[in-house]
Amino acid sequence: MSAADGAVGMTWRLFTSELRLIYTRRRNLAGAVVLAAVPVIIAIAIKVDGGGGGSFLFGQIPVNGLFVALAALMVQMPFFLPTAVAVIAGDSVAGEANVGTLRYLLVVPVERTRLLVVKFAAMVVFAASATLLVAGVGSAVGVALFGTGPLPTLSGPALTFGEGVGRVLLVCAYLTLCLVAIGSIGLFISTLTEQPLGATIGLLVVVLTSQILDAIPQLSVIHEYLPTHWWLAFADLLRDPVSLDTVTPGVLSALAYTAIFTTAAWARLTTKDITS
Amino acid sequence: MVGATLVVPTIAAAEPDLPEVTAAELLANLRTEPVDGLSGTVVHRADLGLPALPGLTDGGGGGPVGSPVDATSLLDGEHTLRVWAAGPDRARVALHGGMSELAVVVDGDEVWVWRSEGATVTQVLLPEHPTTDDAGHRAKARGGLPPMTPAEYADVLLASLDPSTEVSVGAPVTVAGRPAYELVLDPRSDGTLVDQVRIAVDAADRVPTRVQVHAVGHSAPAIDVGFTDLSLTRPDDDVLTFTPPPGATTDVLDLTDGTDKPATGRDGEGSNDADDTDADDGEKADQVTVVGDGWSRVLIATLPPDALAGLAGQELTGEASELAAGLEALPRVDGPAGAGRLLQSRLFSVLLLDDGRVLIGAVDGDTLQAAAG
Repeated sequence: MSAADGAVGMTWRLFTSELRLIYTRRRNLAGAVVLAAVPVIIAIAIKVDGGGGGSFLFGQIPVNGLFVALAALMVQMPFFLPTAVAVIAGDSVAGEANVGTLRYLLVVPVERTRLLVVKFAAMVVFAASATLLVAGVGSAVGVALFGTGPLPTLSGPALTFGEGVGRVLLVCAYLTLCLVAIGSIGLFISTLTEQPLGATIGLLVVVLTSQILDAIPQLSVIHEYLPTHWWLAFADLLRDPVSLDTVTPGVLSALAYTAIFTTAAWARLTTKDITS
Repeated sequence: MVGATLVVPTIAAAEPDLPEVTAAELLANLRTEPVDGLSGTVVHRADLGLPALPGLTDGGGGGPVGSPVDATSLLDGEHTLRVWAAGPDRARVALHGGMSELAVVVDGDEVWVWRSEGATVTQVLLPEHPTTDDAGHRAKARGGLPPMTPAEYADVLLASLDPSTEVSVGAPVTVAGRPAYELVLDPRSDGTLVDQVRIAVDAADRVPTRVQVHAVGHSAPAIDVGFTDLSLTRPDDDVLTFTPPPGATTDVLDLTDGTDKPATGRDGEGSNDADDTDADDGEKADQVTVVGDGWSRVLIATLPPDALAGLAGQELTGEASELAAGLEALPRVDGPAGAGRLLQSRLFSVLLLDDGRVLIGAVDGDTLQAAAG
């Protein structure tokens, strides 16, 4: 076995053990229950109440169960989903430092860059699984309660159920990318501290501040640069034909934030003194 | 990645070199309906200086976090419209809001108006051979919606061309990357709030690509509607047809027999909206009088005595309550013609007198008072 194979194997083992840790921690499972509960509550509330009305996503739930998934994603995007990602991202480096395992990992030896790549990859997988969990539970409950009709688009004409599922998956992909951008900021904050809780709260402060600034009309000049500004652009994926007017800047913004903050995290981690 | 978004070529658009045309030639060749087809993006900017009214102005923005859109959203701020058209009688205009959309689909002698908020559809059946071509009738045919695209604005503005307007051709401009002539309409009277109207006409295809309405005393246009992106290819047929989605509330407005009686398909709560009031306006057309002429003319309509009182008395929902709140927020004025409420913007004024008369004109409030007296 060559040295390269060994390195790849070790990275893979580190990655799988990281995922195992994330998905077996009791606090993460409790978080998953909260994420999954929201679409169930929405679906049951609409079913009992009978009518939708009001906003498009909620109003269409009785027409097509997939809207439970979309409504749940929209409701959870401002706080619950970023919180889940903040816990994982904040814990990534600071968590190891906090319990004193970071230096042992680096002694193993795992290169610092490789460690960061593994932490980032695990965060991406987690963000995708959190979005898919909400969408999956939402779709399942929605379809069970409201059936599988055609999916009305924001533009009016309906899509077939299959196309509708495709659109929901597109929305999940877009929101995952948005969460990865936030997670990258968290990864960077996590390299600054040895307190995982501090990193998590720090990221949540960033997310909430961004949303508050986004709501102040006088600051409209900076709005498009805020990391949370384009989150609801997933509406464009529900139009017919799909519009890219706001999805494109949303994707570019998320990629830019990801690139900047993973680089910053790398610069920080590869140069800092690891003492714990 | 950031670079890609920031390094937008900002070459100063040099004045395009175009052969000279006269205003008459430009007007004669102007096509407000594209023949072959087009698709593009229109940016609609309005800076009317309207007071902040609940339910009327939403503060603009129109970004992903914006509130739901309706045609009244266009009165303030910047909005993006997607436009598709093929032939003279097939088109779609979509106004995108945060998590909503307002779409107008013209498909032959059918017009569909879709509002995603509440999922309501209004189907308008047009007469086979439209006899009237006045702007009001066309607006009604589009479900009571005001003009939204450059072509629709040009349509309305050119319909009222008369000797009170001086028409000239301005310097060539570039709109959506395409050279264009600019038709300049100058009101001869100085009683109007309209300073100048500039209509950019595509040099190659002779379709209106931008309309700017300037108000007296303001350098920035009060209304600026123009293509930012324009492709003169025929769009897909799918885009130009409309099938109401399941679960939508559909109203039918039948104009085929020449009367405006709304025949209601599946009646729902959505039926009590702006379309009905608009149809009423048509039926009571004999109660509308015009004072003055040209750009400074004033329309005077008399509302049924209980129209406004009714708004105040009953328990209101949705649009009606917002409208009532909006009226309450207007400043009260007292003039020679009586007391009432005045809505004053940069381009037009509306005076609601307590005796039920409503005066509208592209003039200031004092002129409205004088017209009423």
